[in-house]
Amino acid sequence: MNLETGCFTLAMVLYLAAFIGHAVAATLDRRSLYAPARWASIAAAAVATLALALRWHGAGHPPLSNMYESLVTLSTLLAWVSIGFTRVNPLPLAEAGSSVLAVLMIGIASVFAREAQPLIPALQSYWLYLHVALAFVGEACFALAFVLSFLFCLRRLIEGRGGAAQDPDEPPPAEGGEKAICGITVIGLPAAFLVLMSWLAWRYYERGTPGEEGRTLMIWVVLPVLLCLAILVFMTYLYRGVVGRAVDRCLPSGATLDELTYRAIALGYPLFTVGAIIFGMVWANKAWGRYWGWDPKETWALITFLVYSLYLHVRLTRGWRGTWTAILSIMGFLVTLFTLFGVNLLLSGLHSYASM
Amino acid sequence: MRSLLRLLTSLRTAIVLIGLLCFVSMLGTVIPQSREAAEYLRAYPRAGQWILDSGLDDVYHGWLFQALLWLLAASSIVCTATRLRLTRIRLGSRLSLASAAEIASMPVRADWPADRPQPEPAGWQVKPLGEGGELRLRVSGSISLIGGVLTHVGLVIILAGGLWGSFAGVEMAIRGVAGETAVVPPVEEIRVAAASDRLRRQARLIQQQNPADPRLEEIRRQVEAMDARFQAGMASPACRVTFEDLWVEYYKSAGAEPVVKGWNSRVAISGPGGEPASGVVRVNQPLSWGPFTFYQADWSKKYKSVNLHVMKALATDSDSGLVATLTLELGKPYKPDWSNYTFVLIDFLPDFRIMGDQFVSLSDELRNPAGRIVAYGADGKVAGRAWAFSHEMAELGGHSSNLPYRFEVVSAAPIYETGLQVASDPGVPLVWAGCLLMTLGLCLTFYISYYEEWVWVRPDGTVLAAVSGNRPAIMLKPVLERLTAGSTAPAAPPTPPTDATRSEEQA
Repeated sequence: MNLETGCFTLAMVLYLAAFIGHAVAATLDRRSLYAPARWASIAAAAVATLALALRWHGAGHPPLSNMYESLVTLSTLLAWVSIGFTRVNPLPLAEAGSSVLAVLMIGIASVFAREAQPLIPALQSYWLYLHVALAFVGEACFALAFVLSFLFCLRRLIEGRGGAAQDPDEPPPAEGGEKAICGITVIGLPAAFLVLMSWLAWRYYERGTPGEEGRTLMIWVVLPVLLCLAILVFMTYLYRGVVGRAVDRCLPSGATLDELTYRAIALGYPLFTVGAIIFGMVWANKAWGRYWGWDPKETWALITFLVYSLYLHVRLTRGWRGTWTAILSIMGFLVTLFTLFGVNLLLSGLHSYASM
Repeated sequence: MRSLLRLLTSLRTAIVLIGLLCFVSMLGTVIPQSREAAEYLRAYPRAGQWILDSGLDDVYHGWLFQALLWLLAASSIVCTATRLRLTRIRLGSRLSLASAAEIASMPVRADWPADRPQPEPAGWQVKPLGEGGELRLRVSGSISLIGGVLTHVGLVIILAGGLWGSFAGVEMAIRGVAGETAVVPPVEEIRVAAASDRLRRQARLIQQQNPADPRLEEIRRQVEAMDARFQAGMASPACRVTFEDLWVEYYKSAGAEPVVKGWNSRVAISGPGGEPASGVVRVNQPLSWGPFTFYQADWSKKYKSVNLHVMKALATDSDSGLVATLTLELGKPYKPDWSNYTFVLIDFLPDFRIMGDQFVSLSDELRNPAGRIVAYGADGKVAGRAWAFSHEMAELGGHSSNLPYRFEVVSAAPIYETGLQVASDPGVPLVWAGCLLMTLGLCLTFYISYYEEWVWVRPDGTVLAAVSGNRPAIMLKPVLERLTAGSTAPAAPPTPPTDATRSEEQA
C-alpha cells in the first residue's frame, strides 16, 4: 500500500467516524459528540486533500483525468463544501450524509484503475484545470443540495408524528401523494443504489474477468451500505421513541432545509454553468474546432444545466417551495451523476478517454 | 398576437419547453446519430422506421429539436424584454410602487422594539403615507438586479451566434503526409459539399424505402450540380496547405509501450485570400489563416510500402518454396519478371482482426499485419486473390490464396499522416460575447446580495421593520436583527451567529 492509498484509506475511516459521530449526535441527542465528529470530517477532508496532492505530485498533472481521479476529487470537494456550508449553521444529519457520500465515492472509485497515467494530448491544457475543477466544485454543491433535499423528504415524512408543536410559518404536514413521494424517495433511493451496485457487481462477475471489480464493489460498497442500513433500521426500531424525538429536534424545519437546498444550488449553479458549459465550450473550440458538437457528455451537461435552470425558475419566479423542488433537486443530482459517470460508462463520444 | 406573446412570456411555457428539450436531447444520446437507414432498420426492427420517419436519427438537426430550441429562444427574448422593463421599474420606482400592506406581508419582518430609538430618516428614501405615516426604504446591492437580464441577454446572444454559425460556418478535414499539399476550397463550396452529403444521405434513405421513388432523380441532379461546384472550388481553392513536417512526441517512460505525449504538424499556407503563412499546429494550439482555423485533429501511421516473401503454394516441408522477395506499394500494380501476373496490394491492415463480417485493423501498430493482394492476368482480368500474413499467422492459418503463390509479410515501414480539422465559424465571437454576459449575469445574480430594508412608520407612531432581497429568509433574518438593533450602516452580508444565537436557533 503506497502513501496515497494509505491516506485515502485513513480518510475513509475518518469519514466513517464523522458519520457515526454526527448520526449519534443527531439521533440520540448527544450534542457533545458534534464537535469531535466535525473535527473528524475536517481531518478526513485534509487527509484526502493530502492524498490528492501526492497523486498530483506523482503524476505531474491534477487528479482530474479519469474515473478514479474524478471520484476521489469530487468526494474531497464535497467534504470541503459541506464543512464550509455548515460552518455557520450546524446540520449534523446533512454532515453525516455528506460523509456517507464521500465514503461511497471513494469506495466506488476503488473499482476503477488507480494507476496514474500520463495525460493524453487532448488533456494537456490549462483548460483542464479550469473546466473540470470548476465544474466539480459546482457538482459538489449539487451533491450537498441532494443531501439536504433527501433530509427535506425525511423531515416531511416524519412531520406531525409525536404530537410536536407545528410552527405557524411551516406548511401543514405532508399527506397522501406528497407523503408517498417523500417515502419513496427516502426508502427508494438507498434501495435503488444498492440494486444498481449489486447489478454492476453481477455484470463484472458475468464478464468473466477474475472478478476483482465485482468483489471490490461488493466488499467496499454494497455490504457496508447494507449493514449500515440494517443497523440503522434496527436501532431506530429499538429506540424509536428516542430517535424520533431527537431527529425531530435535530432536523431543521422543512422551510429551512428548503432554503438551504436553494442556497447550495445557487452557489453551485453559476460554477457549474461557467466551469462545465462555458469553459467546456471554449476548450472544445480550441481543441476540436467547434464549441458545441452534441457529444453525449456535452448534451448531458446541458441537460444538467437545464434541470437546475428549471429548479431556479420554478422556485424564484413561480415561488414553488417544498417537496416538488426537493424532488427536482434530487433529479438534478441524479442527472449530474449520469453526466459524470453514466455517460463515460454507457455512451461513447469525444469524452470517451474519461471512462478509463 | 397578444395571446402568442402571453404564451411566450408564460413561465409554464418555458418550463414545458425546457422539459421537452431535456427529453429530446436525451434521446439523441441514446439513439445512435447520423447512421445509414439500413443500420437503424437492422438495429431496431420495430422502431427503426419510426426513428427514421420522426427524424430521431439526426435529432439535433431535426425539425422537432430545432422547433423546441427556437421556441425557447423566442420565449427567452420575450421574457428578457419583460424582465428588462420590470428591472427598470424596480431600480427606479420601487418605493413609489410599494404599499404598507406589502411591507406588512413580507416574511422577514418585526415590530420595532419599544426600548430602542426609532431610525433616523437620513440615508433613507422616504415616501409619505396618509395620516402622518411613512414608508422608508434603504437598498444595497442594486447591481445584482441586472444580473438576471444580463444572463438572459447572454443566452439569447449565444443562441444567435449558434444560429449564425450553423448557416454561415463550415468545417472539413484534410489529411496528408510530409511533403504533400492539400487544398481547401472557398467557404461557400465547402458548404455546398456539406449540403450535397446531406442530400446523398436523404437519397439513400428514400432508396431504402422505395427504390423507384421519383424524387431520387431530382436529388441525383442536385447532387451532381453541387459536386460540380465543389470540384470547381477545389480547382480554384481558398488556400493550399503544405504539410512540411509531422512529428510525434512520446513520454519518457520505462514501459514497453511508448505513450504518445503529443503530435504536431508544421504547415505552410498560401492562397489568394491572404499573405502566405507557416506555423506549427498542435493539439489545443490551432493556427488561423484568413477565415479558416486549422486544428490538429488526429494522426495515424500509414503503411504504403510492404515487403513480402512470395512462395509456391504447394511447397513441401523440405522445400520452403521461396520464389522471390518483393516490395509492393499500396494500390500500385507490380509486374515481376518471374510471373505472368500483375500484383496489386489493395489493402493493408497492420493489426488485423475479423469483427463480424468485417476485416478491421485494431490499431496502427504492426502487431498482426495482413495485406490483400489481387493478381491480374495478361488480359487484364482478375486471375486470383490472396491474403498475406506474418510468418506465424501463415503457419497457423495455412495459406489463403487461390493463386499458385502464397505471400508472407516480412516488414512494412510506417510513415506518419496528419489529420487537420479546418473550420470557419463567423458566429464564434458572438457566442463568446454571450458567454461573457451570461457569466457576468450569473455572478451578479447569485453572488451579489441585494437587500431592501423597509421601515413603515404607522400613523400611531409604532414602527414595523422588514427586509426582503434575493437571499433566502435564513440570511435575511440577521440583517433585520441588525436593523432593529439600531445599526445605521447599510446592510452587509450576514455574519456568522455567535454561540448564543446558534444555541438559541437550535433551541
